[in-house]
Amino acid sequence: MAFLTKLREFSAWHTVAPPLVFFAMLLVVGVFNSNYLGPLGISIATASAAPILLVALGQSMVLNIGSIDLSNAAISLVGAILLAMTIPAFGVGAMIAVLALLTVIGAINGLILAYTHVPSFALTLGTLGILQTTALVVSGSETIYLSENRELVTTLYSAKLFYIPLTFWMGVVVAVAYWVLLRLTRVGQNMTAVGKNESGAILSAIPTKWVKVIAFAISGFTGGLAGIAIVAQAGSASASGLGSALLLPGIAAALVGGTSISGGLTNPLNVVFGALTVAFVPIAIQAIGFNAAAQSLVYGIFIIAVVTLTTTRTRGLVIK
Amino acid sequence: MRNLSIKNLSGPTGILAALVVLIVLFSLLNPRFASVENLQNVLFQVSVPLIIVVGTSLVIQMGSIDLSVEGVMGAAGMAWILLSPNTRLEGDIGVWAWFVALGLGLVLGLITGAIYAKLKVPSFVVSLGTWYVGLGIAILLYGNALLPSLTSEALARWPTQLTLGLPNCFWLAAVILAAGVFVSHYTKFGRGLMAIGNNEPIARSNGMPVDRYKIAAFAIAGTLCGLAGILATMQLGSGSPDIGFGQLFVVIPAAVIGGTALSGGEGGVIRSAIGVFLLIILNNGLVLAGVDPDYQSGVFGMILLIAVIAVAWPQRGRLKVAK
Amino acid sequence: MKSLSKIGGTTRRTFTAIVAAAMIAGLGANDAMAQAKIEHPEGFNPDEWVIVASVINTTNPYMISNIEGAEAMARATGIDLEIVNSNNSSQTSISSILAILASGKKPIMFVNTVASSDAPPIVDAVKQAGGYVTIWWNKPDEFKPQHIGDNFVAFQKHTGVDSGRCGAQALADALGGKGNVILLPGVQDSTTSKTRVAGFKAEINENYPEITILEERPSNWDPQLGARNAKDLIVKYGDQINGVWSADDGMQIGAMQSFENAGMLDKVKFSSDGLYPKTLEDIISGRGDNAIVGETFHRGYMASAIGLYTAYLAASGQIVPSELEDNKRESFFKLSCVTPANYEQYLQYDEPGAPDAFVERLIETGPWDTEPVPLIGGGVEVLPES
Repeated sequence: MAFLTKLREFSAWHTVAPPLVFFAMLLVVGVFNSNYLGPLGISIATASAAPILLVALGQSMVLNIGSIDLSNAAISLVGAILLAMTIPAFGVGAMIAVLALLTVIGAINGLILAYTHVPSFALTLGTLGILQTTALVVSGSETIYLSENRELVTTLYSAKLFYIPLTFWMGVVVAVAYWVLLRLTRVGQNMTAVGKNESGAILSAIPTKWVKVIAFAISGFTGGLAGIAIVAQAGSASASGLGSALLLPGIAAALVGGTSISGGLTNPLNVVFGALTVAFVPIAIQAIGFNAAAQSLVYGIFIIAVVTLTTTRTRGLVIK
Repeated sequence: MRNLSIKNLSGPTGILAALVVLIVLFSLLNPRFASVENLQNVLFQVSVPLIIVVGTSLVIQMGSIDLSVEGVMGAAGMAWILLSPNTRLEGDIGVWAWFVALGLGLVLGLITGAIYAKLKVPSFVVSLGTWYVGLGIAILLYGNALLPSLTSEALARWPTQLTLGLPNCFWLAAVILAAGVFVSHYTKFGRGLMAIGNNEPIARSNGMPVDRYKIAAFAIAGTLCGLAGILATMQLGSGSPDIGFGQLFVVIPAAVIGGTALSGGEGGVIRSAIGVFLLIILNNGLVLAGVDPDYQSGVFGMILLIAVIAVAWPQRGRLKVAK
Repeated sequence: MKSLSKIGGTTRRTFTAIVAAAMIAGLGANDAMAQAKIEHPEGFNPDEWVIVASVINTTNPYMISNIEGAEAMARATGIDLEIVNSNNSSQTSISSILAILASGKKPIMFVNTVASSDAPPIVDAVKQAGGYVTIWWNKPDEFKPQHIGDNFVAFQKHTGVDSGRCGAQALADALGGKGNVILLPGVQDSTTSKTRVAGFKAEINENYPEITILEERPSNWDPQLGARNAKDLIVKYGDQINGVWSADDGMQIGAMQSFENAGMLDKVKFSSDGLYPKTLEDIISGRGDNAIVGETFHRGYMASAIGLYTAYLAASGQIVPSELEDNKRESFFKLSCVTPANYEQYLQYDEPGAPDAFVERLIETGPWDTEPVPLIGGGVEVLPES
């Protein structure tokens, strides 16, 4: 009996929708150009989706506790710049150090949230501004080009497993890890509890302050991984280049992946498909061959259509 | 020191206090900040976001969000200028241009509201979509011909002309603001929006036509964005699909900082308006104080953080839920 | 499972709507190919190739002009054209280019990069697809065509330093060598903006010691930000401001509006880069008190035509990039200084059909010798000491 209930839950639309929609889009595009159904299409879709996926995963963990992190895309950008500056000299050590630093920055966001009760929107908007300046100042308003040790990082992008670049696999591994964290560990379950009903969680003696710090630290850490993905793809980093426009696609990818914006409902595995979908929309538009001027219009229609299809619509759920 | 003096204040008074502190600070850093000329400058700059924020507040009070601001402004602004005296087309239809442009804003708002309310798509994503749809319409209207500039002196001068010492554009914003306050506090509709934000299932079971209110709120927001697009186009003197560029990140933060929480059920039009003043004055003050452009967003972020923490500090409590 | 059938209806409706929209919008898609004007060499089959032009957005007149140049080249070569609209996002730019490369045809590409850091991934992708690409305006200095191979045919630009110097000279001369100016740079970490600002400042430092730069406010190439910053600076400095230099015309248009609103347009002089159609109008009408005193002339369609033609020559085997001199791999093209005294000679470049006329001359004289933008140098732009 319990198994049947679990099966019914699993096949509920909102679990199945994100991957279904992505494959449907792939199919439609394949009709226009059959190259997309082959290795090349998958390769392009996943390569573009990797940074968005990582940013979206971090965001979905924060959304899970009912907050929002506007600064995580900026964290990845600062990460990318720092990586581009330090990898030539310090190689792998640089990557570890930068990841640690970014996790700390995320944790600071969480700490301020936990102790001052400032709404996360305003808080992370402030940290976003500070990080933007950091990006400009640290990069000296230049484009930092990876001169040495390039292969250390760029292989992540050029090496492919089943036609899919390692940067994307990195995202998949992280998604699986977070799924396990949320479903099977106490920390993860606490996070979901805070997201579903924070007052209840406080009264149940859940250490909500720590939960928040951890959620934001995770966002910072995943942001750092996104920074690695950015540098892997571009071989360079700049404050206004690749990665500077990841915030909204990241949030959209989390939502298309079935994450609830009010908290408590996050499935990192579906966020993978959410990211693929969001990354794929401009590609699909290009492939279908829309007039350059009509592209924005079509992009808007696509986004609405795609999310209409993937939204969780369980009865009684309040959609905000 | 600052924290102590506002310790016992809460609500809009907190944010007002932060505003006053900033004004004093910037006046000390550069006396020109407090000049009449700068006052008119600031009022000129706040007019467009004020108009938008009225609609945004109504939407946020419901617990939703409207990201389509910039796209709707672009679409309505382009439609308006192409139908008004301009350098590209001869299609001046006078006051009807306003109707067409506002109508376009209304329609885009209706679409957003309908998809959100009836198809149950999260407002974040629907409005993200209509943002691009609006932008796309603006780009298609713009085509690739000559930049359309206003040829009518009267229209181009109107926003900056002074009536009773204040710029016309600000008077327009003030009227909209007053209407917004009236609707949100004194009509069933306005109070209903707050109730929906507070607890939608209960509102529904009390017989409130929730879906209709939702659609209406987005429709109003869309129309107001259209109006803002027209005003911004008049202010710039030419049409551009990007006329709304940057407004989203002024308006939403302004509403949130003013106390209109994203979860819905609190705040209001006046508070959001104060938030708008805060952000515009902050930016204006930073330029006048001579802050290095590289550091501008950093200083902005820091001051924002401090202001928001200062406002939230007196209200923190063990059981308080801040999202 | 009830919900599934309800969704089914919505799915069908939405799907039909998408396909309908696709068909409608697709109607305006690519240019139908007319008679090619170029004789292709033996072995070059135009159907295997696709011309790609990637621009930063489609609302800036310069980008629109880029597209016109690409369309003219497509007509002349009889090769299909694809336009990539990056919507100001590096992510979109790279993804869309990758998408086109997946279509199976080899690309002959012109890219106006959103940011320098976009160049390496784009070039790598083109190389893998066996295509040929020319990058305009922004790339990392250390990323050189000579090191990458023939697929990265060339990097081309007009020097920013010269542009800045032009603007500085015109403005300073108009002010009689004395006065205060404000600067409106573009996006802060853009090489284009930085080199122009450096050129402006160097010229002032070297030749106009009595001109003071009051302040600079980067305005992101955006007319509205230009207007707002100008307004704030007007409040700050009032009638101390004698001149305004903007890194491009977009921002100047906004700035001029602010000065006009403040009633100061006839007391201040302006110079900038680009000679946009609106700026040309203002020069002809003498707006303000002949407020605009200096501009630089270059056109988007010339950039894209030269870039595409260079890539085409490499693709069709008519040039071998590795055998070219260095300054034809990293190239500087001539930038002309325009003033109210000599603007008339440039009007011809804005007549209808000008892109096609330019392409014809390009085919005759080659990419490096066509007026008004011949090759004048190359390498990496060196910022002057200032």
